[in-house]
Order: sequence, then C-alpha cells, then structure tokens
Amino acid sequence: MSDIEFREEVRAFIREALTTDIQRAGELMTSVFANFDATMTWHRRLNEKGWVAPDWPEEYGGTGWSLNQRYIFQEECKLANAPSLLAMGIQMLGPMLIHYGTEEQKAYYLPRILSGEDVWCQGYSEPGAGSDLASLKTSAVRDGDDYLINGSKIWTSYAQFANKIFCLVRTSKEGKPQAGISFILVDMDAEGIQVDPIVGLDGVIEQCQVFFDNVRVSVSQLVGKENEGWEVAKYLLEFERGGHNFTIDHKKQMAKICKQAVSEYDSEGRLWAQNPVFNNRFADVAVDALALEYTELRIKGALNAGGNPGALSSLCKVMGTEIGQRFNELSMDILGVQALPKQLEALEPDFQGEIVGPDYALTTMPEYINNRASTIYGGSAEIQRDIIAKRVLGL
Amino acid sequence: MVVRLKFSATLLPSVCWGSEEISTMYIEFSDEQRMLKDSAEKYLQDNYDFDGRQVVVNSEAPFSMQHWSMFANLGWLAMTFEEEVGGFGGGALETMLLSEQLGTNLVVEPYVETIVLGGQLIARGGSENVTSQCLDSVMAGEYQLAFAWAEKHHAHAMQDIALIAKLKPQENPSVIQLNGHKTVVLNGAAADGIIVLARTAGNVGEMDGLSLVFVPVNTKGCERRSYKTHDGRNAAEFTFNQVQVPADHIIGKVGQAQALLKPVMQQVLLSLCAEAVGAMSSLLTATVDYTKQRQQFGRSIAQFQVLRHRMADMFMELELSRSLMLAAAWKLDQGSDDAERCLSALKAKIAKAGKFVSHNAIQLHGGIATTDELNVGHFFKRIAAINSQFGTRDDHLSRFSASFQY
Repeated sequence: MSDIEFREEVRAFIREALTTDIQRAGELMTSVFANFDATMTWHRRLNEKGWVAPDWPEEYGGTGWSLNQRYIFQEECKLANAPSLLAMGIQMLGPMLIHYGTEEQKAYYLPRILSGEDVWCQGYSEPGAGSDLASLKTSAVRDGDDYLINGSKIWTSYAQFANKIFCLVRTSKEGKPQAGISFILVDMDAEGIQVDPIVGLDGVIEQCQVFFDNVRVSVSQLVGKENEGWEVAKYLLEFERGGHNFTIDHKKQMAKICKQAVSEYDSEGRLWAQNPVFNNRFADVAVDALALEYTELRIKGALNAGGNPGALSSLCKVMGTEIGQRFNELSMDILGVQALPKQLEALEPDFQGEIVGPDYALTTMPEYINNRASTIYGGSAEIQRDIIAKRVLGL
Repeated sequence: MVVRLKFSATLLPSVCWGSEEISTMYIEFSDEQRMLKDSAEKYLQDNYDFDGRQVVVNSEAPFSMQHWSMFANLGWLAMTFEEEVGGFGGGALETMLLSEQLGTNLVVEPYVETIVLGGQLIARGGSENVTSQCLDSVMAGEYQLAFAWAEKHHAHAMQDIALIAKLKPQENPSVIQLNGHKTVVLNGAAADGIIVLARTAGNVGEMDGLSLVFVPVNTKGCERRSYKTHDGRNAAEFTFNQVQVPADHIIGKVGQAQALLKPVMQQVLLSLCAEAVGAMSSLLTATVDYTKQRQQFGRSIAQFQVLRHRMADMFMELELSRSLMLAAAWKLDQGSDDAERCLSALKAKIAKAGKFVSHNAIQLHGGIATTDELNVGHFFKRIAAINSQFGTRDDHLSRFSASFQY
C-alpha cells in the first residue's frame, strides 16, 4: 500500500470513529492530556481497530506499520483533533515490558494496556528527587516474597484516574545511587496508598502526589533484576523523549495563530496579520519550527536507513518545547485581555453554555500556562543540554 | 546523482503552509558527490592551513593562485557547469558540499564570486562572444569574475540601481555605453571581467529595466580602486566613464536582469549559507577542544555548566541550520516552488545562528580569540561578511512571512 493510500485509509477510519464529542475533547486540550473519559473512549475505539499501539511489535498487538505509516497515522490523528492517548501505558511501560518483562508479565499486562482496562501512571519524581532522579528515596524493603514500600512520588500525572503505577524504588543504599534502584509495578488500590491531587496554575488537576505507607507488593512485580532498575528507566525515558513529533503540534499552533491574526486587531487598528513587527516575530519562530521539521525528517531518514538519532532527540526535545512556548506567547499578544476569562467549565467537552469571547481564545491562556511545564518534564531543558554536552560534544 | 527522499503528494490541509509534504529526508549522496566532498576535505585539510592562508591574506595578492589552480585541477571549478559547456553538470547539492568545506577551512579564494555567481550568469545568459571570451578559462582557473551591483547608499535593494547603460548611443550604435560608479565589488580587485547591473530603462525603484552587462576590466574608461575586505578577501570600487562594450555583452535579456539573477542568486545564497555552516562547525569544534584544555580555577573550564550549556546551544543552532541547508539544496535540485521560501528561512537562520555561534566561540575562548593570531576571529569575520550580503535577517524574515497563508 502506498503512503497516500494508507493516509486515505487512516482518514476514512478517523472520519467514522472520531465522533464530535471526542473531537471536541481534542480541540480543548490545553496540555498533553485531554479529558479522561473522552481519551479512554478514543483509546477503546482504536483498540477495536487494532491501532492503539502502532509502535509495538506485531506479536504483542502492534500494527506492523512502517515508520512513515506510523508518522502519517500520528499526524492524521492530531490534525483531526483526536485526543492524545495516555502515554504512560502505551508509549512508556509497554515497550519497556516488551524489552525487560518476564513472559508472565507480558502476557498479563500488555493486553490490559491495549484494552484500556489498566490505566498506568508513572512513579519517578519525588519531592527531593527531580532532575537528580537517582537520588530517589522511596524504599522497597524485602519481606519474604514481598517488598514493603514507603515514601512518596510527585508530579504523578493522572494518578487520580490510574489503577496501576510503575515506580522506581530504592532497594539498596550500597554503591552509586543508580546502582540501588529497582523498577516495580504496583496496584493503586493496594492498602497504604494515598493520592493527593495537586491543582495546577490553570486551576485543573493533572498532577498528584502519591504516598506509600507500608505498601506490600509481590517480588514477582519487579521488572528487570533487583537493583537494575536504572537501566530500565533510562530505556523508558528514551521512549518518552523520542516518541514525540513536535512539528505536528507546531503546525497546529501556527494554524491557530493565523486564524487569530486575521480576526484580531492591534493597537493601531490593523489586523495583526498586517503588523510587520508581529509578522517578523512570527516568522522568527516559524523559521525555527521549519528547521526543526527538517531535523525531525533527518532523524526519521536516519532511522529508516537503520541509523540512530543519537542526541538529536535531545535537540528535538529542547527546541520542540521552546518553540511551542514562543508560539504561545504570540497568541497571548494577539488576544490581549481576551485571553483572561477563566472558563474551566467551558473546557469540558460536554459544555453546553455560552463561551465568553471567541472559541479560539478559550485555550490560549491555559496552553500558555501549561506549556511552561513542557521544558521541565521528560528531562528538563537543562538536563537535555547536559546530555548534548556530554554525549555529543564529549565535554 | 542519487537523492532518495520519500514523498507523498500535497495532502496537508491548507492551514499548514508548505506546498509539499516530505515524509522523511534522507539524502543519499552519489559516489561522485561523496568523492567531491572527500577530495575537498582531504585537499583542504592537508594543504590549506591557517598560517598559509594568513600569509596570502596579509600580502598584496588577492588570494592564492596556486590553490585556485589546484581547485581547477581537482575539477571543483567546473563541477556545477552544464556538460555542454565543459562542466560536470552538478547542481545545488554539489555547490552545498563544496561550499561547506570551503567554509570549514576558511578558504579565501573567490569560489562564490567567480563560479557560483559570475560564472553561472555567463554560462546561463552570455552571448557566444562573451562565453567564448571567458567561460573555458573560468573553469580552468585562469579568469576571475565579479558581480558589480551595489551603489553608494544602496547596498541592499537591487531595484534601486541608478547606474545608466545606454543602448545604441548616437555616437556608436553598435555598443553599450556605461557611466557611473559601483561600490564594494567583491573579488573586484582580482577580476578580469565584471558583470555590471545597470539600468537600461525604467526608474530607480523598479526591477524592470535593469540589465546585466559584461565589462572586461581593461576596457577603456573603466577605473578600478582595489582594496581588501575585513574577511581577508579582495574587492574594488569601479568607476565607468564613457565605457563602451559591444552590444552582445548584455547577459540575459535586455531590461530583464531579474529573470537570470533569480535562479543564480538562489545558488549564491545556498553557497554562502553552506559556507557559514562549515565555519560554524569549525568554531564549535575549536571551542569544545579549547574549553577542554583551558585550565582556570584549578580545572578545565569545560566543566562549568554555564559553558557546557552554551556549547549545547551552539550545537543546536548549527544543526538546525544544517537541516535547513540540506532541505534548501534538495529543493533547489528538485526545482521545487518552495525553494525560495526555504532559502529565506535558511538565510535568516544563518544570520542568527552564525552570530550566536561565532560570538560565543570568541566569548568562550576569551582574549586570545580577539587577536589576529587565532583563526577563531577570522571565522567570525567571514560569517559577518556572509550576513552582510544579499539580505539581512530582517529582509529574509519579511520574505518568509510573506508566505504565511493568513
């Protein structure tokens, strides 16, 4: 099948399966997460089609698509305003289990990720361990065939909806900090777990803090060997970083700015699209976005040819998020005070009331707010620069 | 030439500009292209050391004839000319590969002026008379060209050209007569022939009515004042006082310089930007090496995070520039409608990235890089010269933003 035919097939499916209510949830996304119920409905529809985990090997439920096809699929979903699926199960844990999990773990967990029966959250950061993840202190102490887990995890996205959490825990204090870490799977309804929601700057709860008080977990839930969890975690982080195409997001942002710029007027009564200073600022960011687009294409070209993207994926993480933030700022400037009304209820896909201001203004300020986190999560912009300095430049 | 790029047709909705969509970009260079790159890399690394360059730059000579002859022998000068005129038929990718190496090694010889610009104008639009006078010797490394276009106070807009070329003047209807002045003609000191952008019709402010006129520098009434430029190259002022050249010295069509200039200037922009990419990569390498060995506060300064992050930023600016360079070269070879827009993005990016990388290379080297002795400052000056030519960052951002599909 040619890429063009494939794209047509994807579009046909999306036209049918992506109903207006789910699509509205995608339109109203103000961060990497969409409304939970709509997200899971879309997840299940994709699973029925067999398309929920295109990146997985076919034997585990992947699609067997080429890199191009996977890219096209991702692009079409985004352009159609489909909600982004939760990355924690499909993008992060799945590939990691396929690589490091036991046969039992794979047989039990992978189908439950595909079906949406399990919703995973990620227990990495702690109040005292952010960028310096290896300093984490949540402990797992052996007690017979179980571990007893104590401590707390923070910035745990969607923990309030999750029934499972994968955690990095300390199983040894010997040697380097990295050497005493293990990777373990935990039930969220286990006794001793408490979830405290954290209200974000936009007024919405996406993050939580999860507390562990003598939580008992079977040793069989360890992924990889005891004290070798760091290696597992690094593998997973690469999936977290490498699994994103920023160009599609940027194009959507640019399309939105274009729409705003031909509808809104500047302080001299001109449409923003006719303001030369604004146009040059917009072009400045758009040039970087174009350069990043070709960098992403270079990476894909290298991958297709059997090569390795190497630290170019750190470049993409840094530039992709920073460019996204610059686009947010342009939108804020165009809208002026129209960005200010706080309308949390209008961001729900089933909202029936009247929105204050134009529809395209609804998400601008929440996006601007939430995108500040994009250069912090998934390895901060500073950590990425450290990686480039060390691994590419050999410093 | 093997360029493997996968394409699907125009499928993106109109909200996203760009006339085409590439699924992947993987430029697989042909054997010939690889040989060109390897030969340039090897010859220049083995023979083009900085000290030797400085001897030439500090001499009266405009550049090294010895190197230039070698460039000809290695086939570089004929590389991008059509086979019918004795070239090898190379395109934008060849120009890019070679120019990048020239930039990496800080070459002062006038490749862009004589080959990419002057040579191509003549090859594409020269009459039999003009072509036979110089094209073979250009490719053989025995004839130098320059493009004389800028005028005092008008160093940015070609449509502002005022120098008059009178066709068929009453006193001698078989000639073109030029009067006026041209400023900062790059490679002008070395040039054997110059191509003058002159007004044969129309008014200042119009591109229509501009013509390209080939003038051998020894033509009567053509006065030259030669000098060096800050980036170690040569240039000249030209004054034309009743200069007469045969009527068939018009390059391209009378009054339509733009038609011929447009495709040639695209290659020129690519060449200059590729040179800047080469220069940036040399600067990054030099800075990384230097900060590793430079000791202060009892350790190598490469251990300081503020410097490590600065160098990571330099790396990112370089690689983003390189991505645009590859895309622009490829689009030019494809004859893509999008090439012009991509080149403006590239030139704008180079202006920012080139400054960022060169300024920080100097900053991180410290005082030593502010001296004539170290090559770092000379790369910096070359990048500044590239940024000064054929459109500033603002110009190209404006052109790029004109493509927005509002």
